Formats: sequence, C-alpha cells, structure tokens
Amino acid sequence: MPLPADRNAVDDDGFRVSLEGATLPDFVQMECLAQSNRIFRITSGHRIGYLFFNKGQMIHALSGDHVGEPAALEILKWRDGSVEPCNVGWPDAPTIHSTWQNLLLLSAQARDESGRHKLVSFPGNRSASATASGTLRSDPTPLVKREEPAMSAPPSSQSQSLSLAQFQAFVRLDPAGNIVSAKGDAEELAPVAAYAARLAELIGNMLGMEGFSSMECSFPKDRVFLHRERSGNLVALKVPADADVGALRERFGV
Amino acid sequence: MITQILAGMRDVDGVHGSFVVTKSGLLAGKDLPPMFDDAVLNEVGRRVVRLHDGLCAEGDDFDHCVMRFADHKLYLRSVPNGFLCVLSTNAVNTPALKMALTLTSRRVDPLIVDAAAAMSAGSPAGGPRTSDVPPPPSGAPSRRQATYRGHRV
Repeated sequence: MPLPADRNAVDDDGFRVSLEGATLPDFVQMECLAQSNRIFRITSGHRIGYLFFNKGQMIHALSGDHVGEPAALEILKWRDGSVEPCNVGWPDAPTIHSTWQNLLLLSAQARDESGRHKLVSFPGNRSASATASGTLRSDPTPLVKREEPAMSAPPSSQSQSLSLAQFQAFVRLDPAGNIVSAKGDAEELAPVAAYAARLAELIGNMLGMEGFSSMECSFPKDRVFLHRERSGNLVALKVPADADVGALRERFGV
Repeated sequence: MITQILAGMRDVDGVHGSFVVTKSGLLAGKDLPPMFDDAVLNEVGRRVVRLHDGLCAEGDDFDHCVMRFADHKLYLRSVPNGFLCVLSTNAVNTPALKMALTLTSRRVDPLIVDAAAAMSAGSPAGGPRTSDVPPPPSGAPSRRQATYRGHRV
C-alpha cells in the first residue's frame, strides 16, 4: 500500500473543533469515514500514542510499548485525553491490516472483558477541563459502566463509559439472570439469551456434549452471539447481518 | 433414503453425524452412531424447536445456528420443513461444512414430513405419537409441501 509519505504537512484548512463527550472510537470512525490521510497524537494523562490514517483505514499506530494493532488497541482503551494532528514520519509499510471496524470491535470487547465485574452506577462528578482543540472526554450516559479505579491509574481514567456503538444490543447476565450491564434493546435480548443458553446446555447434555460455551445465530437482518464466560455470566450481542464478525467468531470460537 | 443423504455430511472431516427433525420436533431421519437412540433425538428435536421459537420470537426465521461446546459443535440449519442438525468436532472445516449443509438440506427438506410420519409409525415406544402427524384426507393428493430452491411455494 503506498503511504502518503509526502503528505506530512498538516492541512490548515477546515474548522478547529472542540468536541466534548466524544470517545476515541467515535473519532476513529469519523476519520475513517472521511477517508483522511493524517496522523494524530493522542494524549491521555502521561500516555502518548499516535494513530496513522490513510485512505479511510487506520494503517499504523504507536504507543509507549507497542506498534501496530496492539498499539491501536491500547490507545483505544484510553477514555480521556486530547487528540491533535501532528507531523511524524509515516511507516515504510502498514503495520495494521485489520479494518477499522474490526479494531473497534476488538477494542470494545477488550474493554468489555476488562470491566465485566464492574457494576452499573450513576455518573459521578467529572472534571471539566476539556478546552483544548479536539479534546475528548467520555460523557455520562443513562447507562454508564464505571471502571473501578486502579490504584496506579491516573485520576483522569477513573470514570469510564461503555461505548459499544457497533452493537445493536448488548447484555451481560449473571448466573441468576440479573442484568449486569447492557446497551440497546437489552430488555428484549436478555430473556431470549438466557432461555437460548439454557436450552443449548440441555441439548448438549442430551447429546453428551458438555461445556456449552457459545452460540451464533444468523437471521436475515442480524446475528445474535451468546457466550458463557468462565465466571458463569452470559454475554449476548446482536450485530447487523452485514457486520464483519470474524473477530467475534474467533473470540467466541463459533 | 434420508439416512443415505445425511451420510454425505460425514464426507466433511470432523463431522460425527447428523439428524433431521420436523418443525414440531419429530425425528425424521438420522445418521449417527447407535448410542443416539430415537427417544433422545426426539427430545432433542423438541428442544431445538423451542430454541428456534425463542430465538425467532421477533418473527424472522434463523438461517442457521451454531452451538459450541467444550469439544464439539452442533450446527442447526433451518429448512422449510424442519431442521438439519449436525454434530462435529470443534476443528471442523466450517466452509466445507456450510457447503455440505446447503446441499444436504436441499435434498433432505422435501422428504422430512413423510420420513417423520414413517419413523413415528415404526417406533411407537420411543418415538412420537402417530397423532402428531396428521394423515392426509382420504382422496386428497399427497400433502408433501411443494418447495422451490428451499422456499415454500
């Protein structure tokens, strides 16, 4: 893939935007849909990373410890900070080969997995320091998933929201069937998921197949994924039928 | 006849066997080791139907459904007259299996209703009640569902 090595200059045309409430996945989506050829510096607390966009794809990423897809996934976990265009050298060749949709999906899954034991709670007070150009900050939403702060985490990462925009619906149920976290039309998905998982376990038992772990069900307009986590919690996702679900399948093993 | 068609599924590496149930869960045919008796498969069939009904509560019929277990997978393919169910290892070649499912389901579907009736008549103890399958009215032509490319016509 030819990289725009001669396009290091930042284009000064256009608006300067201060966008509160946006998340990095929102930003990535925006840049990719705009087919941009730009490099951005992402700053979050003491961490700095770079995302490289070329022709509507994220083709390279750098963070403190990683390069390529691992770096992109690490940066996409950051919840607060700022984004600004910058001039650094383009890589000789792309280091990211997944589509941006895949990356966002993987990022959402990773964030989801890391926060699966967290509780849904009301949004607390938030700092109001987002004034710089392109500053990103997660806004409270009606259903906000809050990460418990790690002892070593900077204060800015203490409050985190769950952004799973690519799923039509998402729900996590504990073994008793209580909703632990949810997005979209969870009230409809939760009972279907719980019942389907139970029937799958019964069907498996009758056929001598133990250890139900996941299910994929394909409909004309969407797909439903179920996954029994080791904790016993059940995760259910509904995604559009035309979504790229390769990463989900790989993760769930279906 | 159905058993012969289902046997083709085992051409795909990793497939242990398969069976077919009607839309009401009655066993219509199987190609599985003898340890899977008809009574068990009839019960599985009824649960497959309930699973289908639960997942399709919004109205859309599912095309296929894959369940993964510790060492095995169970594939369900919905066809107009029933469900084709395939047991495999987790390492099965999925694209090959999907192709085999498509071809097999086309051939099996027109035979499901009659096969289920024949099986239930032949297995009064473990099988379904014959009253579950309504007999054709006297003098009426066969009630086999006409299909074109897998869709009811």
